[in-house]
Order: sequence, then C-alpha cells, then structure tokens
Amino acid sequence: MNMGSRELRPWHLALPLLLMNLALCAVLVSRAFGGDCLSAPIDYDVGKMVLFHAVLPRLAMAILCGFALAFSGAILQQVLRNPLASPTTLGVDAGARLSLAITGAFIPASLGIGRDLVAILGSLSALGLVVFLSRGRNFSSINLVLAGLVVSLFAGAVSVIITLANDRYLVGLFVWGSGSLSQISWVPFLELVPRIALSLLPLIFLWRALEVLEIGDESSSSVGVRVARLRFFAVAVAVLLSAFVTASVGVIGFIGLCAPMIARLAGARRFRDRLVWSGVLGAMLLWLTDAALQVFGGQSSAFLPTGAVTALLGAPLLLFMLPRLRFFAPPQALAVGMAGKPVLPPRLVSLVLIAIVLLLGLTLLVGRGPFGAWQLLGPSGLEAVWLWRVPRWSAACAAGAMLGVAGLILQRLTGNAMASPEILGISAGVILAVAGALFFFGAFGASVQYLVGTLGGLSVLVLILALARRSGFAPERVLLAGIAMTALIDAVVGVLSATGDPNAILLLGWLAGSTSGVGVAEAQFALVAAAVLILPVLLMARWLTILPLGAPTAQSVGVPTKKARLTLLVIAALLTVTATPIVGPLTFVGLMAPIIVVYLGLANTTLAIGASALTGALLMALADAAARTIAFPILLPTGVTAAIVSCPVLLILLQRRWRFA
Amino acid sequence: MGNADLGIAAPDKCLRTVDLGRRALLLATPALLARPVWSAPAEPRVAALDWALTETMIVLGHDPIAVVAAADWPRFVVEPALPATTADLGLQQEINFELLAYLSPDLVLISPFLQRLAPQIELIAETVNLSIYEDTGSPLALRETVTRDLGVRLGRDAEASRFLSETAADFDALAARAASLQHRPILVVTFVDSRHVRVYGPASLFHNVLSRLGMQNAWTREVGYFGFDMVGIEELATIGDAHLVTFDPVPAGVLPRLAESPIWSQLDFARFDRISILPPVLMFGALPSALRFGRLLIDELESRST
Amino acid sequence: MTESAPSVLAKNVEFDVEGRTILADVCCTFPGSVVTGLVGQNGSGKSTLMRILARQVPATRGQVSYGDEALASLSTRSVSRKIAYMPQNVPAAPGMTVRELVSIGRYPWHGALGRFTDRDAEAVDRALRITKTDTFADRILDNLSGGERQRCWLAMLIAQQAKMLMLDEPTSALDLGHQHAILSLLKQLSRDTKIGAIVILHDINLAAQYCDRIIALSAGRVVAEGTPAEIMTPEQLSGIFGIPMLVAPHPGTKKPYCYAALDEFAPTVGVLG
Repeated sequence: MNMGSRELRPWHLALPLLLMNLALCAVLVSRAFGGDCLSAPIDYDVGKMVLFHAVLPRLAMAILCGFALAFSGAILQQVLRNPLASPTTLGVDAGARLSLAITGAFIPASLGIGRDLVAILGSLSALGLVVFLSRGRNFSSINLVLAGLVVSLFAGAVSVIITLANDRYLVGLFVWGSGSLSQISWVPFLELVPRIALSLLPLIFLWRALEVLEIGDESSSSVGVRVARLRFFAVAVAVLLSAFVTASVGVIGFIGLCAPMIARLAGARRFRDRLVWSGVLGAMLLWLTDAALQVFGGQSSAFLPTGAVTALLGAPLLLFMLPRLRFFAPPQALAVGMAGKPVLPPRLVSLVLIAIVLLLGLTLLVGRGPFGAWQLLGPSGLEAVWLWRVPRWSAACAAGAMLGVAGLILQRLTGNAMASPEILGISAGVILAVAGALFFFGAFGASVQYLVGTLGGLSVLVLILALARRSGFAPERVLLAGIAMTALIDAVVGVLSATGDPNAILLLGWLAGSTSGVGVAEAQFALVAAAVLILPVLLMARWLTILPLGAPTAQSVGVPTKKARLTLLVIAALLTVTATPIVGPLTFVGLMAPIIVVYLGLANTTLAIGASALTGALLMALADAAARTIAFPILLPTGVTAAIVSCPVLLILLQRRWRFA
Repeated sequence: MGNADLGIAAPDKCLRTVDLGRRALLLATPALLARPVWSAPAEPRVAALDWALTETMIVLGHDPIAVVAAADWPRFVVEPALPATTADLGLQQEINFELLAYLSPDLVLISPFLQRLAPQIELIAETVNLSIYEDTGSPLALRETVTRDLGVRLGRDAEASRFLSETAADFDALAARAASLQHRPILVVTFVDSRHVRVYGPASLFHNVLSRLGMQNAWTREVGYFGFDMVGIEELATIGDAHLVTFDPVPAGVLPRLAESPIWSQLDFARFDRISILPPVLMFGALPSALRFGRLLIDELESRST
Repeated sequence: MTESAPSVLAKNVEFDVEGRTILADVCCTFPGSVVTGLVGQNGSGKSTLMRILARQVPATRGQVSYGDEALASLSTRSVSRKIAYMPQNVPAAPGMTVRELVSIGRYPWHGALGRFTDRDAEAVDRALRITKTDTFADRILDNLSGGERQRCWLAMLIAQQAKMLMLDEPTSALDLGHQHAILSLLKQLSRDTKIGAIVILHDINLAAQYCDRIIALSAGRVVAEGTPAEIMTPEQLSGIFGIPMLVAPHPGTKKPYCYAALDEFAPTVGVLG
C-alpha cells in the first residue's frame, strides 16, 4: 500500500476549500460586529440581526444545497453510468423551473403552498421526457445529455414565451431561475433539512446495489440486483434531492455536475468514496461561491444570483474537462436509429416535394384580417400586406432552410439524430454577444444587432473548433463543447435580467425569435445568404454520404476526414450564425427537419439536402403563420412558436420510429 | 380572438374577456377604421407604442387609435382609462404591423426601446421617438418636457400647458396635504419574491414625486440606471424608521413567508404596521402615473392618520 | 490485372500511446497477390499494425512503404486507390442501400465532385457479382443478416479496385458457415485478380486454411512469420499463444490442425502470468 505523497486525494482539495471558506466567514462575521453602517437611530443591533438571521442561514443553506445537489449528481452519474449526468445536464432543473413558471403565471395562488410538489412534478416530467428521447440506446452519455439539452431548451422556449406575455409579473422568475441563496430566516433551511434527510433515507437500501452497478447492467442482474427497480428508485432519490433544493432556492446549476467530476478526478475511485466526497466538495464549492459573493460582491454593486455565478464558473469547467473525459461509445452505438424505414419510391419523391412547396405558398396566403376574420389572400390582398408579411415570411423560410441543412450536416457528421444547430452553442454565442452589447451599449438598430450577433457566433465557432482540434474535430466533442456554451446563456441572461433593466425584455424578444424587426433588406439578405451557403453543401453530398460510415472507412476510401469535417462544421456554423439573428436560438427546426426527411424516406444525400432545406423552410413558415394568427391581434414570436409546434411532432415521430425498429 | 390573452394571470380573467369582447366589437366599427379622406382639419390619427406616451396623449385629450398590449393596460396602468376605441397591436416586442398599416395612422410615437423597429414603422407613417428614459435631469422634469413636446406634435400646446399647470397645482395641493401629515421617510419597493425586493432610489420617478411632495425617500443608496435595484430583504434592516409602500399585486405567499422572518418582524415598518399596498402604478409611466402615485400615497397616509 | 501487385513493407515500425509501447520495432513484408494472415493474442498489436499499414494512424517511428513508395508521402486519395481497409466494427449505415454502399468504394476514383461514370458503374456491378450481393443490391442494409452485410462491405472494398485489401477480423461476428464463405471468397479473389490481402484472424486454424502466409505478433513484436506449414508446429504455436499446443492432421484435408494441449487442471501460466 504505497499511497505516494504526490497522489491526489479528495481531502487535498476539501481541506484548502474549508480553510478558504472559514476565512471568508470570518470576514463576514467581523463585518457584522463592526457596526459601521448605522445612519438612522435603530434600537436593535442591525449587524447581529443580519448575521444571525441572514448571513448564517444563507451559509447553512449554501452548504446544504451544495451537498444535496452534488449527491444528486453523483447518484445520477452512477445509476445512469454516465459521467455527464446531473440535474442540470438532464433537464431536471429546467423542468422544475418551467413548471414553476407556468404555475406562477396561471395559478399564482398555488405557489404559496405547493411549491415543492410543482417542482417535483416538473423535474420528473422533464426527466421522463429525456429518458424517452434517449431510451433504447443504453442511455449512452451523449444521447442522454443531448436529450437533456433538447428538453432544457424546450423548457426555456416555453418559459420565454410565458415571461414575454407576463413580463411585468414574472421578474421573480428570473431571480429564482438563477438561484439566489439570500435568506431572511432559518425557516426555509429548517424546512429543507428534513426533506433532504427523508430523500436520502432510501439510499440505505440502495447503497450496496449501486456499488455493484459498477460492473454493468447484465452482470449486476446476474449477481441478483434488480437493475430496473434500482434505477427507478435511485433516480427518484436524485430527482427529489434536486427538486427540493430547486423549489427552495431556485436553479443552482453545475454543482451537481462538477462536484462528482472533481471528486472522481481527485481520486475518489469507489462509488462510496465518490458519493461522500462529492457531497463534501459540493457543499464546499457552493459555500465558497456564495461566501465570496457576499464578501466581494459588495453592497452597492448589482445583484448577482449565486446560481448564475455557479453556472458561469461551471460551464468553463465543463469545457476544460471535455478533452480529459473518455467515455464515447464506438461509432455504431452513435448511429441514428432509423432502421427499417423504407426508401420512398422515386415517383413519390417529386410528389412530396411539390406538396411541400404548395404548403409553403399556403402559409404565406393564410392570415387574419384587421377584424380578426380568417382569410386566404389573393393577389390584391397580398399586395396590401406585401411590406409586412412577405419579408418576415421569406426571412423565416430562409432561416428555416439554413437551419434544416445545418441540422442535416450535424446529424450526418455525428450519426446522432439529436444533434442540431440549437445544440452546437453557436446560437448561444449569437445571443450572448447581443446580450452583452445591449447591456453595455444600450439599444441599437436591427442591422447592428445582426452584425454583433454574427461576430459572437463566429467567435464561439472559433473557440469550439480550437477545443475540438485535438480530437480531429470529432463531432461528439464539438457537440459537448456546444452544450457547455449553451449552458452559459441561462447564466448570463439570468444575471442580466435580474437587474430588471428594460433591455432584458429586448433580449427576451431576441431569445424568443421575434421576426418583427425583419424588413425588406433583411429578408433579401437572408434569402441570398441561404442560397450562397446551401448550394456548396450540395457539392459535398458525397462527403455527407461517406462520413456517417465512420472515420476509418471514410479515410480508407480517400476522404480527407479532417478537412471534410472542418469544412462541413464551418458551413453548419455559418448557416446557424446567419439564421439565429432572424429566428432566435430556440426553434428546433434544425433538429426536426432532417428527422422528418428521414421519416419521409428520402435517404439519398443530395435529395436529403434539398428536402431538409424545404422542410426547414416549411416548418418555419408554418410557425410564422401560426404566430401571426392564433392569438390575433397579438403576434407571437416566430422562433419560440416553431419550438412549441416542433416538440410534440418530434415526440410523435420518435415514437413511430421505434415501432418500426 | 379566444387566445388573445395568452399567458395572462387568472385573477382578472373575467375582466379581460369582457374587455376583449368590447374591443372586438369596436374593431368592427367601420367608422373607427376608415380613414377620413376629405376632412383636412381633422385631428391626426396617432398610434402610441409606448405606455408613457399613451397616457400622456389621453390626458391631453387626444385618444390614440392603437397601442401596444392594450389588454394589459387595466392591470398595470389603470388610469387614465384606455379609450374603448383603441386597437391592440399586441406585444411590445412583436408589433402587428399588418394591423397598424391597415389603421393607417398619420403619426406613430415610439420610445428608444423600439428604435430597432423604426425602419419598418417609418414605412407606415411618420415616426417620432420621445424618451422618458434619459439619465439627464430629473425624471419629473423630463416627463414635463416630453408632455410639452407631445403637445406641440399633436397641435395641442394649449392643452399641454393647461395639463402641466393643473398637474403642478395638483402636486402643490398634495404637498400641502403631505405637510399637514406627520410622515416618515417613505421606502418604495416592489416584492419580487419572499426574499428579494426592488427598491426605488434617487433616479426613479417615485423618488422624484416624493421630493416634489416634500417627502423623503428612505432609500438613499445609489441605484441602477433606471432608478431601481434588486436587493435582498436583509438589506432593508439598516433603514430604521420608515413607511414601506408597495404595489399590487404582491406575489402569492410572500407576506406569510416574511412574517416568519425575525429580520422582517424586527424592522420598524413591520413592527408598527407601517406597510401600505397601493393599487398598481406604472413604474415607467409619465406625469399621469406620477400624479396617480402621489394621490394614492397621500390618500393612504391620510386614511392611516385618522 | 495479371502482373503481381506491389508488397507492403513495414520497417522498424513502432507505436506508443501515452508512454505505453503497443508496437516495438516491427519489420515485416506483406507480399502482393497473396493472402497474409495476421494472428496473435488479444492486445498483441494486430489491429494497430493494420491501422498503420492502412495509414489510418501514423506510426510513432519507422516507415511503411507500398512497393517502393513511402506510404507517408502519398496523398490520401492515392493511398485509397492502392489500399482498401475494412475496420473491425463496421457501422450500421442507416437507410443506405447495398448498391449505395458499394458505390462508395468508387470515391477514390471520382472524388468529391467527379462524375459517376460507366466505368464506376461497371466496377460496382462486378463487385456485387463477385460477392453474390447483386441479388439484393437494392435492399436496405439495415434489414440484412450479419453475413450478408459483411459481404456487402467486402463488395465495397472490391469496388475500390485497390491492389491490397486489409480486413480487421472480418469473421468475428459470423457463424462458421459464413466465416468460411467470406474467407474462400477472399482467397479466390486474390488468386483470380492477383491482388494482395491482409486479414486479421482470431482462429489460427482458419488462418492456416485460407492464408498463403501467416505473421504472428506477440506483445507488439513479430514472433513468427512463414507459410502455414511453417507456423503450424507445436513450438511456434506455443510461442504465439503462451500455452502448450498440439498439432495433428485435419481428418479431412490432412492439413495441420492445432489444439490447446491442456488437461482440465493444467495451469494456464502463459496467458495469465
């Protein structure tokens, strides 16, 4: 047993963290006794009052929440055998947040009492959806995380639309969504303790079995572990832990991902070590973040929610960790499960394409008149709305086509049906750049916004490519880097919005994919850009046919694998960067269009590229028509409408697909 | 029109339905929509895409033909009441241009937050950008300037001057009533949730109204660009003797939660029940909202002192 | 197509991963026009050597040449005209027809943008015919059995018209009948068209039956090289597999056939130690 003094042990990290935390606490306590901030005559000791009923419960809360979230993450990682599982990456947080948003908007009275229940239901349904989307593939890391991201983004889209319609009421949602640990009594902490304790209770019975799970499902069941039941109960424990925390203080992202990851890296090898040290490190990390915020945040500076800060710190950590993780399944496990779908007979292909084009035309003509009556425009009617409807319709079509093709490229490159431009992180970059510009320079014109957004998206592209260079632009790495970027959106939007700045509403408009800023010039630009970017993809059809067969085969037949991947990634990114400022980052059209094309049986690559463009355009045009009509005279933002229309269709298609398989 | 109230909270659901029904009816009135072709001296048809400008127009006696988010008006602005003939152009971020173009206004009023849509709006009508959100000068003075500018724009200079002097007189009267009251510094907040409030500081409209009435704002710290900041409730502990004023609706569950807090119950205004919940007042409003705040506040304080 | 194909030569090839040596100083020749079997225990470096030979990964040190050209100096495209490689795990290729898959073998000849000519079509047809996959050429790969799918991949390699085929365990997932079918197809192809092939096989008897030469690796070094008759001796085999081996004539073909010479309780020190 030569432990070796240089070998990293968990306490090597925990101890310095504890010391730092104690130092910060000492500062906070001494501040309380300093009594420097009294101006008005007050007959009690404000410093002590705040220390005992605000500072201390807040610290206790940080420790408890950090512990619970890290535990939840460690359990999820073990039970799903997936080092990227956590409440954040599996959409559990987003589900809780959305359910609370919906409740807050429509039945606010119930939030006073049933907060926990609402959060638990939201978390469970999000997780259920994630499992449904990634089932049948052994919960492979990348599939679970991608499905988690899809669900998070969808929940985000719905939250955005609710917030837009209720912006004046739901400020609280932002604060809560970005997890503030601020406390004014011990009551919430004392309420949370028994909840956490109760959630941990079943672990006594699950503990041993979870350890056995290390050797894999089949081997575990052969030594007598009932894997399905174990999985169910363990996931339930993890979800309860995270939901209780979320209901109490809001979404604190990334602790559940980072703490177990750090524990593992720090040499906690066995499950029991990992679990315990995850808990300890999670508590230390959140304590550190929050205490540092209290000490250095200052009293007059802008309000910074702790959860947003952990996400700001956690996302780069995830980026940093990516090259060091080894967990990817061999190529065939990533293959899109489109088995058994018959190829569409050639005579039907043209019929399908014509039908899509006709439907496209229909979406332009259908609308509601000034008195709210439904109408189908003729030539003269079209002329009356020419300046308004045609630009936004054609820009939406162009954006949809670009996203559809970008999605096709990414799905072919990764061999994964969940890959899409929404997930690449490029859209996130666009939005982050616009958000930054809005808050630092104030409102500006639409074209400047497009420019800033494009620059933001391109810089993210450069960053992602730099990170993925080492792996030869392996698509899974690129996607995961994208996930980390996307996670930053929530954090930054959360922080900026918590300030209550009216620019936050502008930003929400962007997130929601408002097309009202699109004029004739913007529409022309979008159409030209779509043509310029999509045509070269047709020339790369052969690469897109061969690359899904895996790098060895592609290289063996002489495809310059690295160059081909890089070129295609750059084109997919450019398509995304161009489309995002028009319809926002949350459309899911890039995800849906290629899946629909496969479902239609258009497997031939050249055909699939054209069909993805048309289908993407159609989806976006349908969203545009729906956004214009369903709530007339109120127009809905096109991007989010597309997301809300797309998600159920996705579920139906995936359901059907597995019935075929 | 059934879904027009998407995402609107339940409490005033009935109110909304009635409201929409009425609007639908009026939308159908051709007289409202048809553009008066021959009558040259008729007053210009104006669409106001910012609520502060909308309420200013209304008090100047010039009703807008269309506004944004008309359905939300009764919830956040209340008075002056929106004329029943006003068309709803939808969300502020997603303006129904087809409808706006059909209504063919002569003039569209926007705020800097809609500047990015200006190119589109200018295709429909002359567009004027009037800002109440400048950090130059005090908010109240800025609103007076905007009122006067708007009066000139609408050819209602006389009404504007009259309204301004009336407002000044009203404020003077309110200040006199305030002087006769024995009042403490006022802390104006909006409850975000049970742990956070927005406090309104020196740059805010509310602070300005308080000074105009000769009253003191209890929150003296620096605040953000738009006149308010979000703080944890524990930061109110240093306030001392003050009267807390907030607005409807206080989010559900907040007050019971606060009652559990030792900090909150130690605060002077909680201990001596110096907490008033006023009806909604538009935070980004113009003079009518400012006056409404002053009136509601003084009424409340008077009713408490008797 | 009658002239014999150039050989592939490995000279002092070494390969390290994170400081661990996978291949150490491998020198060997894979002649054109014959089938060479590459055998060895798990982890002996067979697959790595093949990936280096096929220029899938660069060697850490040493050089691979094809004929008298250094492989590293050739372009990807010209390598793919000379060497066709089938990885151990072939992906599912969802939604692709057999003919489409086989046509991919023509990429080295037409490239990303070139026209798919009659010559290309001819080569595809021929490959389909040789592998007897022409009967289901328009069916979707997903719906084929493992044996059929393996034949389609072989057809793709044939359509590539390379002078050297490299197959990494093409029989590992197949039943006995299909194993023999694939290997006899390969052998016949090599004899008829004078192309070379390197096949990684787990089953030494299968290798002895179908290969003209056998190269054995152990712990990243070449430990034996020769004709099946030279390899199939108890001494050689024990050296390769680390357990005592017996060789006896096959009851039917009379060729040498080997067995592990262990009684039930004999310690298998060679493998576990």
